[in-house]
Amino acid sequence: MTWHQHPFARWLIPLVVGAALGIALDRPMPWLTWPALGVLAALLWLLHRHPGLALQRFWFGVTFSALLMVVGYERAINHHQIRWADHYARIAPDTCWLVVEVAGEARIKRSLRVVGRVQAAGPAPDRMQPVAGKLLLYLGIDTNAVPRLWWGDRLLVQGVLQPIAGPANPAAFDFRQYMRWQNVHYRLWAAAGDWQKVSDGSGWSLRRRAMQVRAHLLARLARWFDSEETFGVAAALVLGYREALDPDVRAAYADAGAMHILAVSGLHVGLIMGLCYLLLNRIFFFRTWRGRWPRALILLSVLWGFALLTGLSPSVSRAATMFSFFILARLFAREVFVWNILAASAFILLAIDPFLLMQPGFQLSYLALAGILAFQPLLEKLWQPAHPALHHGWRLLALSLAAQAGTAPVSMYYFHQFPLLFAVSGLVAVPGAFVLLCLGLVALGCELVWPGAGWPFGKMLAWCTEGLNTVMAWLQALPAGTVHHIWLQPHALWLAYAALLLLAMGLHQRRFRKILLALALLVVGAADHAAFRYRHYLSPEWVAFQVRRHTLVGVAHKGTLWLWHDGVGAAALSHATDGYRAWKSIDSLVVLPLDAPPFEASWGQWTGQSWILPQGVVSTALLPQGTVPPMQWMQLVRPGQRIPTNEAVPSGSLWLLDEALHPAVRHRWQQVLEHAHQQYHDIAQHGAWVWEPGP
Amino acid sequence: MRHALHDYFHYSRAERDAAIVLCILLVALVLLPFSWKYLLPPDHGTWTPPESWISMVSAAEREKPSPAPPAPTVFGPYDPNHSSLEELVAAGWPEHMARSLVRYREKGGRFRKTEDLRRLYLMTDAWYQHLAPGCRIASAQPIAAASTLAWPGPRPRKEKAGVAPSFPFDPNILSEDSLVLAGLPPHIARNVVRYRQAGGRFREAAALRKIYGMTDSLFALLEPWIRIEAQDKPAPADSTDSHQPEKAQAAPHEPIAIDINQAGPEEWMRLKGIGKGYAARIIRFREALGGFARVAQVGETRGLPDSVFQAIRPALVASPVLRKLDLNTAGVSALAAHPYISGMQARAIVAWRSQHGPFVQPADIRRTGLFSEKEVARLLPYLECSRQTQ
Repeated sequence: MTWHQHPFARWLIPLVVGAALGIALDRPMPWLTWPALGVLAALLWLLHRHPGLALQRFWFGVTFSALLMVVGYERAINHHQIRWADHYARIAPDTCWLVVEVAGEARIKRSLRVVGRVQAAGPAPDRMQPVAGKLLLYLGIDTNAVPRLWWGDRLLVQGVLQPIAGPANPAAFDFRQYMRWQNVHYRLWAAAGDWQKVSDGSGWSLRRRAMQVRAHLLARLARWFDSEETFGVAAALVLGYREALDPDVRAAYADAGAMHILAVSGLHVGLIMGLCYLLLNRIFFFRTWRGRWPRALILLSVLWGFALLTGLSPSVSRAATMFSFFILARLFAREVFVWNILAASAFILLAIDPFLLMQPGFQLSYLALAGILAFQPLLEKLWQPAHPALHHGWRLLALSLAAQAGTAPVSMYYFHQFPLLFAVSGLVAVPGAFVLLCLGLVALGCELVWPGAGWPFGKMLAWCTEGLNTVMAWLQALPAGTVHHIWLQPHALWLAYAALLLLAMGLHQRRFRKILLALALLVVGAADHAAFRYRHYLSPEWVAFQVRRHTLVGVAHKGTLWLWHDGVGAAALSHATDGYRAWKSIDSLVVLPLDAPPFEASWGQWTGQSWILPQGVVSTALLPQGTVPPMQWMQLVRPGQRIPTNEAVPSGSLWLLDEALHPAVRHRWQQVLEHAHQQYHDIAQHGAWVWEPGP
Repeated sequence: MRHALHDYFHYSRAERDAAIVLCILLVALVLLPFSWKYLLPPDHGTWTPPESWISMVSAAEREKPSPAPPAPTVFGPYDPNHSSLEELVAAGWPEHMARSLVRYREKGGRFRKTEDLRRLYLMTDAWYQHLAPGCRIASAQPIAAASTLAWPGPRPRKEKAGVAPSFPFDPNILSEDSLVLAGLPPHIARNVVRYRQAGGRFREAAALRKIYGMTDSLFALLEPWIRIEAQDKPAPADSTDSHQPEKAQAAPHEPIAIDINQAGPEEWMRLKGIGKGYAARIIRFREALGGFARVAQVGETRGLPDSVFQAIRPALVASPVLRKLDLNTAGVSALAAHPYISGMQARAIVAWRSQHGPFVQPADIRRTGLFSEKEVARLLPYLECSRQTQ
C-alpha cells in the first residue's frame, strides 16, 4: 500500500486538518487565507511548469498540502452559516414573519417538527427581505387535519426566534452542539394559527419526488404490519425511515449492539447494487463493450435514486459515493483500491460539507468501514475452517469484531455504553437484515407491478421482523449484556484511535514495535481513565438538577449518587442524571423522597420546605432578620416558601431558585433578591447548579 | 521518518497533473458562495411576497379565532385562590387557562387582588376584561384600569370603607345578597355566610366584629343597624347563593351510608349531585381499579367535581378492595389495564420479574425504581404476591 496508489488518502489528511482547525478556531481570516490561496496556487503552477529537480517535486507536494489545508479551513469558516451577512438572525427581529422552505423530513409528535431554509424575514408580511440560514420549526397542528409537508414547500410562519438552548444538566446531551453541526442555531415555535403553507415545492425537485415516493412506499408497507413496533423496524431497514421507530425497540437494538442495521448503509446499498448487477448481467447487451456505458448509467441512477429515497444520510452518502467510484473505475477499466475509494468519498463529502466531520453518523460510518478493512482480513486468517457454514459464520463474526473495533471508542464517547453481546447480535442481525431487506424489496417491487401481489412477501417480512425484534429484546434482557455509564474523555478517545492505528499498521506490516507501542498507549489510556474515575470517586459533589416543574437534588460521593426528589418520574430522572452518572462514574443510585434526611450533615439540611447548604459551617436554620451569618450558606428556594420582604432578606448567602417554582413566583423572587443585592442562580434559566464542597 | 515524509510529499508527473485539476476545482468551490450572488439577478434590498400570499395571510388573519371568548358566554363568580378546576371552567374560564391557574397555585402563587390575574402566562387583555368581574378574592380591590403589576414590598393593611346600611338586618338570617344590600361589603357578606354554614351563630352584635375582614370603622358603621333575633331560627338555605356555585351541591338531607365497593348505580344515585352519568363513571373507575381502597379515591373519578365529592363524602363508607393484581403472574396487558400502571411500567415490571425473579411481597415493587413513593403507596392496596416455584 503506497501513497501513489492512494492519492485521495494523501489529500484527505491536510483537508481534514484544515477543516478541523477551521471548526475549532472558528475565526475568519480572509486577510490571510485569500492571499495564501493565491500565492500557493501560483507557486503550484510554477512548480508544475518547472519540475526539473526532485526537490521541486517534493515542494510541490508540500505546497499542495498547504493549499488543501487552507481550502479546508476556508470551507469550514464559510460553511458556518451564522457568520453570513444575510443570515436571518442578523436581520430578523425576535418576533417576526418568516418564509421558510422545508428542507427535511417532518416529524409529527405533539407538533410538527421540521428543519427549513429561511428565505425571507421581516416584521410584517409586506416588509420582508431576502435572508438565508436554517431554522428548526415546531409547528402547532390541529389533530383533525395534519398537513403533509414535502421538501421544497414554502411556509409563512410568525413567531419568536429563540436560540437553541444548551444542556440543562451536567454532562447531558448537548442538543445545541448537535444542531450546530447541521448549521441550525435557532428554533421557533408557532401555534396552529400562526403558520400556513403558501406554495408547493417545485415538481422538478428530486428530493421532493423521492420523499413522496418514499411516503407512498411506506403506506404500502404499513398495510402488511399489525404492530407499530415491527413496522418501525422494517421501515428503517428497508427505506431508511426512522421516525416510526419505537423508543423501546430502538433501545433494545442499541443495548444488543445491533443499532447499525437500522441505519441504511453499505450493507443495503451493496445488496441493491448486487441485485441490479445480477439482473443486468442476465441481459446480453449489458455484458458487451457497447453496453458498459448504459450499464454504468443505470447502476448509478439506481444507486443515487436509492440514496435519495432513503434520505441521503451520511452513511448512505458514503456508500453511494464509494459505489459510484467502483462503477466508474469499472467503466474506465481502472484498478480499484478500497482505501483510496473510501478516502475519495470522504474527501468529496467533506469538501461539500466540512461540518460532517463533527457528526457522529459520519464518523461511525467511516470508522466502521475502516475497522472492517483494517482488521477483518487479519481476523479471518486466524481460523479458516473447511466447512462452508463455519467459514461463513466465522467471516460474519470477524466482520462484527472488526467493525466494533473501529467504532467502539466513538460509540462509548457519544453514547456512554458498550454492548458486550455485539458479536452474538451481529451473527443474527446482519443476516437478518439481509433477509428483511430482500423480502422488503421483493414485496414492494411486486406491489408496484401488481397491487396485492406483494402481500405474501409483506407478511413474511412482518413475521421475520417480529422474530428479529424478539431476539433483540431477549438479548437486551440478558444480565450484564450492556455496560452503561461509560465516560470517555476526548484525549482518551484520541489515544484509543492512535493505538488502533498503530496496531493495524503493526499487524499489516509485521512490525512488532508498533504493536508494542499500541499496547503501551492502551495501558496509558487505561491508567488515565482509572485516575479520572478515582478523582471523581473521592470528590463529593452537590447538584441541583433541572427537571421540568420538579425538584431534584443529588449528592455524588464514592461511586454512589443520592437523589432527593418531589415525585419526578423514572424517565425524567434518568434523562436528567444519566450523563452525570457516566461522567462521575456512579455505580449505584439511591432515590429518596425530598424530605428524607441526608446521611451527612455536611451535605445539607432539610428545613421542611427547602434545603440549606453549608459552605464551610453547617447552618441549621434560616437566620433571623438582621443577623450576619458567620459563614456563607446557600438555600434552595422551592414552592410554598414565603417570599421575604425587601428588608428581611438575609445577607451573605447564595439563593438557588428551583425549577419547580412557577415563572411568576420565580420572577418575584428575582426582583426581591436583586433589590437586596443578593446573589442567586435561577435553575430554570441557567440550568443545573453544581457545587463541590471545599475542605 | 525522513523517508516517510519524502514518500508522502513526492508527487509524480501524473499526480501533479491531477493535483492541478483538483486545485482548480477546489478554488472554484471556495469561490462559489461569493460569486453566486453575482450570477443571480440583483435584488433591491427588500423582498415582496406575491400578492396571493398577502391576501392569503389577510384571509387567515380574519378567520383566525379571536383571542376574545366567543359570545355568548356566561361568566360566573369564582375565587382564584380556592376554586377548583371544574369550578373555574363552570365560571367561564377556558380549560387550559384554568389549568394554568391551578398550577400557579400549586407552585405557591397567590392572588391578592384582581389584577394579579394578569400574571398568568396565558391571560390576555380580552380574557381579563371578561373574567375579572367574576373574581371574588377575600381582600379583592376594585378592578383597576392600570395594567402594571405591583411587586411585593411591605403592604400596609388598608381600611376598607363601607356603605352605610339603609335598613336594620339580622346577620343570622339574611342571605349574602341581602347582606350586601344591607351595607356589608361582598367579601364580608360571604364570610358571614360561611361562618353560619360552619355552624356559627351571632348571639350579639359584637360577634360580627370577629368576622374576617371586618374593620373597626366598618363595624362602627354597621353596629347601629344590627338586630339579632333571640330565637333559634334556622339559617336561610344558602343553596340559592349565586356567588357560591358549589353550595348548590348540598349534603344529602337523609342519612345515607354507601359502601364504596359494593354500591350499585341506584345507590350512588341516591346521593345528591350524583346522577346516572356520575354513577356509571364511579362504578367504571371502581371496576378498573379493582375496588376503592380509600374513600378519597372516589374523588379521583374523571369528571366528578370536587364540590360534589365533598358533599357526598360523609355518606361514603370504606370497605376492602375487591380484586388485587398478582405481581408474579399478571401479564403486561393485565398490569397495564390498571389505572395506576402505565404500559411502559407494565412492560418494565414483567421484564424486571423475569430478570430478578418473583416478587416476595408487594412492597418489593419499590425495587424496580419505576414508581415514586406516592405512587407505590397508592398502588400497594391493589397488589399481592403469590408464591412462585422456580
